[in-house]
Amino acid sequence: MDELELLTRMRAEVPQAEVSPQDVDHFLTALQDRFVPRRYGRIGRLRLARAWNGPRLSLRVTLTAGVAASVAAGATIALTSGHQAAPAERTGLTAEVLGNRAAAAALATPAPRPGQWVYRQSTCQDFMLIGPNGVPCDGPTEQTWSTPDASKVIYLYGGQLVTSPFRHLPPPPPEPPPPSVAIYRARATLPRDPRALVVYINRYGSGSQASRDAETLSTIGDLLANYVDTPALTAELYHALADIPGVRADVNAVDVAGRHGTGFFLQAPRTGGDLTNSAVEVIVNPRTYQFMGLKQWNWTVGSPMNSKNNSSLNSTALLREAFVSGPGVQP
Amino acid sequence: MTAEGRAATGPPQVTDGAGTGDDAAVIARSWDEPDYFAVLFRRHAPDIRRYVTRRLGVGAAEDLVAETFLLAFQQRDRYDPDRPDARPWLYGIATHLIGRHRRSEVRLYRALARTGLDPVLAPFTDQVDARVSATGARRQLATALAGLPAPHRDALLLVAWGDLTYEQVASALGVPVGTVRSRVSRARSKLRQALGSTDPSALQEEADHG
Repeated sequence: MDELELLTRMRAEVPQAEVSPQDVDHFLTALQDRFVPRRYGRIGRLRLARAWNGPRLSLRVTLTAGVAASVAAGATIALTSGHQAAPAERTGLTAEVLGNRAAAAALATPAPRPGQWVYRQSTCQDFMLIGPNGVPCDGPTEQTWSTPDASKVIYLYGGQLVTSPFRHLPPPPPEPPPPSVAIYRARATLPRDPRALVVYINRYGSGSQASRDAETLSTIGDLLANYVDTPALTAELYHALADIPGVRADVNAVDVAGRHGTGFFLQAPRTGGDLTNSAVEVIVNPRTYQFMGLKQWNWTVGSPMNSKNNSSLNSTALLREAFVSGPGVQP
Repeated sequence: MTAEGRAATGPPQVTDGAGTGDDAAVIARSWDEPDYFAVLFRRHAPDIRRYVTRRLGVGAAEDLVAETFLLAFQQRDRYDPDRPDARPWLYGIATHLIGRHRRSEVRLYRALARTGLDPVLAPFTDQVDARVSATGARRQLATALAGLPAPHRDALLLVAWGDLTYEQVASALGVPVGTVRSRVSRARSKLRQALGSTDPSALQEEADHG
């Protein structure tokens, strides 16, 4: 076997995905959006829309059969765009597969260079927490600059960079730091096996095993939301998410900014001493598998999972994240 | 199989729902019926997508493939109607766009070399253990790919992952065929050197079990 055959083998391992009717639709839409207004005007646009009415039906049958065949052969069709999570549903997306995908995306993500800061734009939702504008946290967009280890955080508040947006409020009662702080500090000695990592983080939880598992998922979400770890450790965190007992993939996840995503979802059932009917979800982008947000909420049994009546607990949606040279620098 | 031994793939002659005529005819017809360009998309997007996925991962592939065909549509007045097969033209556009993501591509190779896990393949496998399958040879290969000059890597991978002949690669990159031969030769030489430090039995094992 020579180097060219080895390369050919690497290419052969990437499944050949058929073009789906949705792909064609998206392409034609993009074509119209970019070119039709300028070159063909409204009539041209209508003509474009009409032209596919004929062949598309037979085409759809052919292509759908192709996709089905690919799925039957074990290939995962992950190339359709947007948040159309249907392909993932059809292929029975599991938490493990989702963990693999998110971990792969993490491995391909750059680590910050020395001295770089992390710019984040995020929004939060918590019926108890006070947001940066002094009102209950319910959707304000927050801009922060932090060091990758989150030891320094600078907020944009009232047009100024401040070290705390809560200075005008009475100091909160002292609380123990969340487990993510201690876990991040111990990152150099964390177990390198995802399942062992779950057991390790589980020790920080309390209550029943189900409650501990929910807290573990929440803690990992906290780590992903607030720290920039090495790509390898971030990848391990995603594998660990998938290894938490009871976690399943949710292709219909919606973050607190209203964006659709794919989530690592865990429902913690009501048991003595636990929070009532809580659920936790770490949501990733269904296309890039990068972190989108952490959602924690209580809900009334029987009501829709995303009902506005459900009380959100310390949920956050990451709208933008980028490395910058220092506080106040916009990406 | 050597690169020179690859037979040129003729233009697809599809007569069913994927349109009729060779690529040049499809492009010509798209001047009167712009939507007919979708025939070219359906015909070649799977191969282009696979090529881009192999180089940049599944996350980047979708947008880049769409952009490839949108640029092709925009530039179709430059298409030589005497060329019935549009693949070199499309691969050339895709490769140009990949050039904007060099660092991401190199990062993927380095991740494979460092961890033994192929980040490109992870989305396609359900088994954690299956991801930990990269042999020493493949990791050496990834290291060498990461270290190749971009023009050399482009030429080599258009041959290996795009299934183009040297002449088609020359057309895709807009360089003389002699330059392509030279670039591929040098790239292969560097890969061979890298693999030379690998246990030969690992290569055989890759062949037996791959």
